[in-house]
Amino acid sequence: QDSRTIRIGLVVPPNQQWTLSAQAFGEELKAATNGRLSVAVFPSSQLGSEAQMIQQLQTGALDMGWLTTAELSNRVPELAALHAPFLVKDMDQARAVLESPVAEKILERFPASIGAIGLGYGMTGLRQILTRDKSTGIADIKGKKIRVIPSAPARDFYELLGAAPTPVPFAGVYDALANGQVDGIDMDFEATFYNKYNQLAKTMLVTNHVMAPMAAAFSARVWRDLSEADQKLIRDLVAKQMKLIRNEFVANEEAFRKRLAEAGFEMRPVARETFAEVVKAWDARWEAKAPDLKALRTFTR
Amino acid sequence: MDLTARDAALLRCRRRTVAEATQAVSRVVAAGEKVLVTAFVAAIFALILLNIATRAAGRPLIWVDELAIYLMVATCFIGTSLTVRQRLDFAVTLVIDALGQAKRRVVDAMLTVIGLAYGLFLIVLCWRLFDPVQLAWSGFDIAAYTAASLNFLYTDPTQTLGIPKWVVLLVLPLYAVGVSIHCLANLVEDLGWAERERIAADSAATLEAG
Amino acid sequence: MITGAAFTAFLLGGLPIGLVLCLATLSYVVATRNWQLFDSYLIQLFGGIDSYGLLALPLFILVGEFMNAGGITTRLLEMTMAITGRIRGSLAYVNVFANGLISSILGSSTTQIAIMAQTLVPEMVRKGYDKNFAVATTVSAGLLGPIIPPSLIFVIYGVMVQAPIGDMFVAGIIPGLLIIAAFCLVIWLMGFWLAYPIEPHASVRERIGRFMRGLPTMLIPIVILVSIMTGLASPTESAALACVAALFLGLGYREIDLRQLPQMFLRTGLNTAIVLYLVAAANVFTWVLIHGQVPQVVASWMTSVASGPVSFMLWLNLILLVIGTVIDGVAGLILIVPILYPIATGLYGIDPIHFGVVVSINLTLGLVSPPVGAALFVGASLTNTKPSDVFAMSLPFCLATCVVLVVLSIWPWFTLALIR
Ligand code: NA
Ligand code: NA
Repeated sequence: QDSRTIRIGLVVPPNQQWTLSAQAFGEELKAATNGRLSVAVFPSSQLGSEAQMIQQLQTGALDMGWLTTAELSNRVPELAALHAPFLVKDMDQARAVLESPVAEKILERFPASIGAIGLGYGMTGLRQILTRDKSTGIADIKGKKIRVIPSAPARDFYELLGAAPTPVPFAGVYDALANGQVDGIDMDFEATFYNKYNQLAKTMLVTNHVMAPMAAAFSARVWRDLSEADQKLIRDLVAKQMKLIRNEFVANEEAFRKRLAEAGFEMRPVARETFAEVVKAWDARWEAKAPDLKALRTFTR
Repeated sequence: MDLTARDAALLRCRRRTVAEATQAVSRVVAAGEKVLVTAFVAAIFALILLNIATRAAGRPLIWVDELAIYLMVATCFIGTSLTVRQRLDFAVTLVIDALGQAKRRVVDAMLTVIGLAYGLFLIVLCWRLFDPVQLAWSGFDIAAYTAASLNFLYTDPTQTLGIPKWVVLLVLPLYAVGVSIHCLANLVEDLGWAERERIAADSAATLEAG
Repeated sequence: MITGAAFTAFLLGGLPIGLVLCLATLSYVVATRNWQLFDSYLIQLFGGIDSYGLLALPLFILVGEFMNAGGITTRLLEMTMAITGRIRGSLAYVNVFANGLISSILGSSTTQIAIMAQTLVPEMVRKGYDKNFAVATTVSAGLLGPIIPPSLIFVIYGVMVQAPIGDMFVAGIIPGLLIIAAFCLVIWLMGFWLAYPIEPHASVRERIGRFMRGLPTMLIPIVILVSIMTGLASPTESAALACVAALFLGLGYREIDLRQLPQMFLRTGLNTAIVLYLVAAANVFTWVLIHGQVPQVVASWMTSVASGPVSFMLWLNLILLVIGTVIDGVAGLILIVPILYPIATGLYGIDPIHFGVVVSINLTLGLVSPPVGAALFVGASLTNTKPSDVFAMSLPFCLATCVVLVVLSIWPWFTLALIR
């Protein structure tokens, strides 16, 4: 059989866990096939934004993308259920949701919705809100432009909060915050720490308002050319790395929060109860489009 | 003998008619492109001012950034088509400048042919991207079309404008067709089939390249 | 390999550079039989310029249109003359200072040279300066355009590598001042060899009058710099505010005719298209370069010649000086950066802003170096001089710029001091 290189695209930088795992996957795959299958990893949006990578998966120009489910939810609306605000209380629960049958089932929608095979979920930490000016509470983001991942569930959440959600792909976030295109960003502890967003912002409102899963999506066009044995091998090795990623982020969430706090970054906790009305309104908007929402809310109650 | 001379004259005459028709089409397209580019730049300026005003008032509008960006992209593609006709392209002419007048004419025509080939290739790519025949076959049922073709173009959303992304991408076929028409018009002039039209350049060539 | 050969052939064959990049991209697809890349080609072309930061380009180009139509150029010039007054060769110094001031409004050298060549050169010739010297001074001082903020080349670099555009702008201030100082030194030294005329005396009252008439024009750079340095507005928004300032000044001076607005918008649109198309084409070209893992190959070569950051930066200057003879400005930037940026920042740990400023100044210098130099050609053709004569006269200025570049390369402090 022909040897082939599997190209994996990601938006995160080379030192981030997703990229490290993608490289580890490559080494394991190479070893398991005696070098017949190898992997080239393209971090930092080198091949384009997530929207562009999804298009390349569809044509087969890219073999695999490890992409945020937020961006994917534009094409797979069922994924929006994972982005329901305050669906989970902590990282343990976030992991439980991603390992639940409901979430597994959504992966089956990928071929029809984006022309890719869903191979499993990874994630990053829970999302917080960073503001360029000092903030004392959630009321301060009213009338402010807040960067969100280009995705409808996130947009709706901030609209309901009275802010102006501004979709910016990951590659443009630092510039948007530094140059004042936006007044704040929606981000997790880990990315804030590594990308030094804390140097550009005055306050982090610690809301833990939503989880941030990632999905490994494999181009359906390329997938059908692979032998069944290769498909299974790839499936298993990716699943292994996804599990590792989930566990890493659950284990390190608190450590990253601490490191930011130690760097002198002002972090203000905001109580979940503050958002009760917004959550209700969000669920009303999404119930029909994301049919698993009810089941997941029950699951995490 | 006489007959062939008359044939040749007739051929020249027909050629001239075709060439002048090409120039006329190009002229109409260019006029349309000028209007669009002018309007788009004015709109970008107005949108950014609107953005500043609404932000200062604490009521930013969420769709302004995205609209301004897409207008800029459209300005780029439509403006590029126009620069082809105004022969404003930014090229390294060092080697070909050394050629004599006659050879230079041949090279110019060849360059235009390459440009034309590229334009036609873009039309093919646009056709594959928008796939109008397949779409019509599925009765413009987007779900059915997407499932059958695995072309997800028509399901992509824009982020804040509330219109599908393919509407914005329509600037690509406009650009492809515009480039092809203008290259054809340049070509009939390069081949000497029609007189070179005097086209006032709306920009000093290559000015902004540095 | 085939891509490289195709690229060189198309480029030297006189095809427009944007088209060269596109065809080189397509030749890669054909050579590697990665046919599926074709169906992502258009989306990549579109996606390459679908970015908020680039919105600053049309707006900064529009500022230039308003400024020129609004009589702001001539007033700035008179103001500078009023300050320098009566020293030997004062008009040559005026040339450098006025270019420095106008650089704080305009973002590209060729535009600036086109404007200044038509206003300053006739004035200098009338006063008895050597014509080639006058053109050379104007062309060289025009290089300040993209170095002193605002700057189109910095905007494009910022968008390409995701560096804050505002920081790029601020980082250009000290290098710009260094170049002004170096050019003044060059003019002083050349004075021992060329006999500069002495200008007639103007009364103090007249000079104050001229100064006051020009003073309001400083509103534009103040709007740009203050809004960016304080973080009140994004570079895009500051450009729009600068447009408004220029428009009002032009109306105040009663020089702008609102009926000319559509023509100004059209010119802005076309100039924007020329630059943006290069960026879009470079984006697809970069996409296949990365797809083919070309940067890795260059990186391994680079590490075999350069031992550390300083040695890398000096090599970089040498390479860019050579490349800059043929490919310069924005076109050079978009070819060089995707390949050398990961090496510079990844392998040698060079600051992205430091790298960006040095590369940009190098490629701007390429605008005056023959055989291909847009700035040189524009300056020479607008003043009816021979490019070769002008270049000979501008060599001392080029050398001075090279010295400044070496200083900037070795000591990052000069680029980074204001943003850290
Ligand atoms: Na400038
Ligand atoms: Na040059």
